[in-house]
Amino acid sequence: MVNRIWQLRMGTGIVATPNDFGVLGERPVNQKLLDWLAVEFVERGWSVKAIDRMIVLSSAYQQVSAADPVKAGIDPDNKLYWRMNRKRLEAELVRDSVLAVSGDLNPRLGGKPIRVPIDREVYDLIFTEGERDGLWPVTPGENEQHRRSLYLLNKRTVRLPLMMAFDQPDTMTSCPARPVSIHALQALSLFNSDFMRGESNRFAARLERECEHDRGCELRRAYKLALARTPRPTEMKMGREFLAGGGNLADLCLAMMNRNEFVYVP
Amino acid sequence: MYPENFKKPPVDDAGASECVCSGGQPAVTRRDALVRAAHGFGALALQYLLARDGYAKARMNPLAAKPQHFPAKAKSVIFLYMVGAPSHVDTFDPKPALKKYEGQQLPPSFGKVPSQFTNGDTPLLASPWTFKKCGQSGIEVSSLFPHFADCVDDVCFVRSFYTESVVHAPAMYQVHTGRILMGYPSMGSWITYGLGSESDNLPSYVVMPQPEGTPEGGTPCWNAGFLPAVYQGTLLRSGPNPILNLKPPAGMTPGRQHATLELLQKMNDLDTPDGDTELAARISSYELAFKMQSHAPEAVDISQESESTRLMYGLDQKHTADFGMRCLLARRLVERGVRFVHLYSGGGPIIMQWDAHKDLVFNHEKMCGHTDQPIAALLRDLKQRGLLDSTLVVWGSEFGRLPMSQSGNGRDHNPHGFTMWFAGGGVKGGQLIGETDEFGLRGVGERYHMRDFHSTILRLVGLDQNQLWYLHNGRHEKLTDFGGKVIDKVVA
Repeated sequence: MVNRIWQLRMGTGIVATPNDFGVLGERPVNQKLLDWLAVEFVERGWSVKAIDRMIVLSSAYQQVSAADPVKAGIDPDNKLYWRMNRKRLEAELVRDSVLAVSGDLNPRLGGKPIRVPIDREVYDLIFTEGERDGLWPVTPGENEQHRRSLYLLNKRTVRLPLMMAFDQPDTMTSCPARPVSIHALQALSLFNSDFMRGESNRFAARLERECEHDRGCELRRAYKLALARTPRPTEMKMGREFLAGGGNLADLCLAMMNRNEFVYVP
Repeated sequence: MYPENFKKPPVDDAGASECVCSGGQPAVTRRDALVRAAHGFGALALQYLLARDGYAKARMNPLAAKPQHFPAKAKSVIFLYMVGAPSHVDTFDPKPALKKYEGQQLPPSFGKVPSQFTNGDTPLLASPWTFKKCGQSGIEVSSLFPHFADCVDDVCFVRSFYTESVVHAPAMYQVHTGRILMGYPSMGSWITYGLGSESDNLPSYVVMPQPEGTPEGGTPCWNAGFLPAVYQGTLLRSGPNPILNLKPPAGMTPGRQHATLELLQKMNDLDTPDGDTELAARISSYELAFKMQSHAPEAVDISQESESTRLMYGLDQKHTADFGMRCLLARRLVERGVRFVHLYSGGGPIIMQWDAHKDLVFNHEKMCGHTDQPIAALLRDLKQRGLLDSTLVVWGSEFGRLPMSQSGNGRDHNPHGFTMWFAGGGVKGGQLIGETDEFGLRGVGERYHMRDFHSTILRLVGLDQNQLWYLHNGRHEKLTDFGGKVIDKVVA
């Protein structure tokens, strides 16, 4: 259990094969740490929250992810956590982050799973020998469709392309640790899909509304919302040039949500 | 343990991904390449190409072409999949005994043979079609395949396959992924994982289902299972927008899109330190996506194909136009370096499947009518272009059909013995391997399981079934699970 909590926070487990501590599994990179955490876990009343808090307050967790050539030479895979692992957002978090940034996210808790609109191509993959219509009754109301990805109905044969592209497990076999792959279909879903187009329009509308068409404010706000930081001077210049050259604010928003920095926790 | 030229497949069970993440400098750093080529995009593309060709670390691009485990001729695979199960005793496995004993019960020595809908007590049904010896090899093919009959000298038929499930979906999972349960990587995913891609601007694993609907097993038939998503099958259609989300949504002009992409890449460039292979790979993935935007429509645009080619594939006739188009696209894709093309005949409504529970004559004449001429055209076309040597063509289904009747004029499912065939890349054509009993019920003598089917295909593309593994949940998962036997006689 402590190994799983550690994996969630640090990117890899102390034992890298969390479903397998046996002969085919990896050896722990630091067995004393694992044992100590396990004992702490029991002594703190089996509290996940307590262990989680301890991990995020540790100096190991609070390191930057920047590379160090000397340390990389000794431990290239960062098995001993000399830096923080950079983490790619999980598929669900990519979608949630997009919705949060555009201002559309509905954070309501609980209730039934939701069906969001799917592309025709995906609809056509639902197997039926009979009636072709009504196989995917979409949950009514945009606000409901904008609930967290946790609530997306996950039908094994109807996978959402954005989720699938970003390595969401298929829920058919147990997934101890998600793979992180990088490929062109991710770029296509994140850059060209109707969902992303809609959300970048909303993101732009939000900026215009909140900044009353002040370009500088819009750019700073876009960085604040999407990347949680202020833009550097070069980035301000780049943004201003793009917009002055006829670039569309919604397009800039789309680019912001496609940035490496957006899909990675640095 | 491994031969010298074998590169251990990337293994990852730790979420850290095989693609990148850890240190290690590519031979050409991003900045070097940018400076040398002096213009951003070209340089990034260049580096991607270098990576593909193995100059930079293979980890940079998960689809980089990888060496075969041992030399083999086939570089690409076209899997012609007949959804719903054609009847072997009416196509490629003649059984004169059925004529002789028509209307009688299966002899008691065969035991009770329950299938999905029948109990084995229905009478034997003779094939309504006649068989003729074809080609120099004299292999017998039924009159359902008049065009394909001329190709038999290039084809190796294996008549004694068997599978474990009598129900479509699980049997489909078995022939696609090696297991009767869903959730395992498909053969196309395994082969892409093992060999990478030869194409820089098309997906390496392409799937073309029947427009009327999907096979009963659905998307798990071409999913990557627990392998990283990069190895999943990509659906491809003909027309201007062949891949989902390939084109920007309505209202976004190409100029605007290009400007946006340029902004994105400039911004990404700012945050990408030298030698950061993971972020560089992500930048390259956008390059690839937008190269695909022009190359995928080109790949499916058949306007440059000659009139005789179109006629050969039957694009001028209603019954062959659809499947013929997909066969022609399959040739165009392998020509462009696509590794695995999965092509379905049948899917969706029962009337559009090979699942002849009743009215076998109507069903098989229709489905063979769709596919006979296009399949023959595909084999001939590949041959005349010199591509048949490097392309493995496989024909098959989830199981065969019973020699007994169902509903008087149909046949129920038969997993005990059925035919699939191989042609092209590294296959010794013009031969028959294995046999079924005198009624075509069960494989006899040397019988071949789906594991044997898979290990033979892996062998033909130069992959060793035992070296192609992925650590998942503490198991070295393999396509053939605990191993199949390569059907040696198939291999030339």
